[in-house]
Amino acid sequence: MQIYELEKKALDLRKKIMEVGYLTQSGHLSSALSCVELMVTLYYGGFLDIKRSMQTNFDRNRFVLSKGHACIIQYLILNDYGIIDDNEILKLCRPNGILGAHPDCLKVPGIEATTGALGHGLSLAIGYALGAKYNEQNHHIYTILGDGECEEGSVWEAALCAGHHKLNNLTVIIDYNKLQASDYTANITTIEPLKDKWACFGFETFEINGNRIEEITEILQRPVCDKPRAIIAHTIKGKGVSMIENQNYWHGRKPNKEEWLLIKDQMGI
Amino acid sequence: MVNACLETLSELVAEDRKIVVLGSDAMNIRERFSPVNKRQYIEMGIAESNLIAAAAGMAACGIIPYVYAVSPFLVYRANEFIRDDVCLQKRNVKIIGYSAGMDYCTSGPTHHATEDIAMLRVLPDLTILSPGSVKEVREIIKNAAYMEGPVYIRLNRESNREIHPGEYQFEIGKAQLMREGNDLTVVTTGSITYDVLQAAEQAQKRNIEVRVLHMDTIKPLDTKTILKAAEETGKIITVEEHSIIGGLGSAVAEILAETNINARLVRMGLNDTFATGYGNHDEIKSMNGLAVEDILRKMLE
Repeated sequence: MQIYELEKKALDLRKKIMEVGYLTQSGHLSSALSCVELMVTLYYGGFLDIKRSMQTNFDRNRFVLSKGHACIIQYLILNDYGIIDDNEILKLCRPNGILGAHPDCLKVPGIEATTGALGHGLSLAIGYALGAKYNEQNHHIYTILGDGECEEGSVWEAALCAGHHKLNNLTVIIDYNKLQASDYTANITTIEPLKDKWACFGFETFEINGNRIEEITEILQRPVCDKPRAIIAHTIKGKGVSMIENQNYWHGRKPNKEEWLLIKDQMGI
Repeated sequence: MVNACLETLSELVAEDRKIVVLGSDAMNIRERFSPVNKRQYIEMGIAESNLIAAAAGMAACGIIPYVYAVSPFLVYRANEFIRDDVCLQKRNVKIIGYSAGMDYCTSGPTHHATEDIAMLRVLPDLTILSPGSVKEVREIIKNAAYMEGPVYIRLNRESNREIHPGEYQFEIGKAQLMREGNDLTVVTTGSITYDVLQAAEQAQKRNIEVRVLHMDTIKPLDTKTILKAAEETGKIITVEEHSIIGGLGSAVAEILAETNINARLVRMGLNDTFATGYGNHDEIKSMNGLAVEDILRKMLE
């Protein structure tokens, strides 16, 4: 897909996030909105082969959404590819559905790892990366972490391990939207200097605007060196919905009817 | 028992390329992996949470990972990782926790695994195996490879006392009847089974015939054999190098409570306390009420 097509895809998915979020009153919408471009680039930009991800073949690129609470965007992408049924989407977080507020790999097709508890996804991804090396396969592993998630000690255990084993088949993307559940990340626990941290743990590091598909694509297309990669992706939490952007009280909120009418109008839904 | 475990692991990796051992800074296992098979050992450092989750990831690549590390650090520190990444996702990971119970007898409670059964027994889909001798270690380590799903193996470190003079056959979920007797039953697990058998022998000299059931599988528990023993002998003593809360004693209490069997139950183990003292393994068991004499006394009561 061309960049403009990916951008269109991102816009459509944003609208879909808000629509499904409103109709089901479920999901972490602002967390999903911040990583739409990252997810779209991975899934539609040629980095994940969605058809193969449905096979039991172990030799395929893999993706772990470590910040599992953003999974509504992953569900919608898998739905767009026809892997998750339309009728499941509107049963999000309902007793008769398979989709929860965190992804479950045993229930939901196309999900590579059950996440939700923070600080697990990178280690799981490391397992995939070590497995690929051991099996002498050339595929690549991608994972997206939240910035708040980087407060978890296990993230840094994992980072040490990935650096030590020179897992150059692993790309870690930090969806750095500067907010966590209750406040700005900087007010809770400072994680800066974030790029330096990943660099000194043995990663090749990049810093980009994570809401710009062009920049994401450019970095992901670069040939890998002998280190794992960490991409600090600066993003905006709630990106694309003005009422939600950078508002931490939207972490767990869903729009009410009045807000929905406004959002609908603004986004042209 | 650790040596038997390491030998068996070396044999397993030689036979099956799918098997990979992940370790956490232990000299004994690092020495075991020679230039020939060292690809099948991955050193993961002193970072148990990452170790467990990475093993879960590897299992999703068609690999059968064996995790080998000190029990308390695995079970207590990495408990959420065992729960979320191994059990919840039904990953085919074999977790060997060495230094079960008070094996690290001079190291103090930080190094004891005296609540591990309690903390793992509650986890769905996890099989818990607890070998009591060298022969059992060999069979159990080998069998675990081809049991589908998560397995925890509670490995005693140094004890080389054999409890099976003859052949040992492992069958998952089936108690080992070590000794016949109809006066009372002892249900036990791990290397302390040897002490129980010694106590039972002494009890016999005083005309008390003790049935000894050794649980090489703690989960799934052989409830049928335990309940039959309760019915036939009327009294059960559980003996474990573990807290009496949540461990084998609790498991037996749970199954007894849901029947109409009128049997007395006495649980031996650590009674809501950390193990105290330093010494050799026998000494620390003695300091914590788990010497052969203590077990004998309970049998005679």
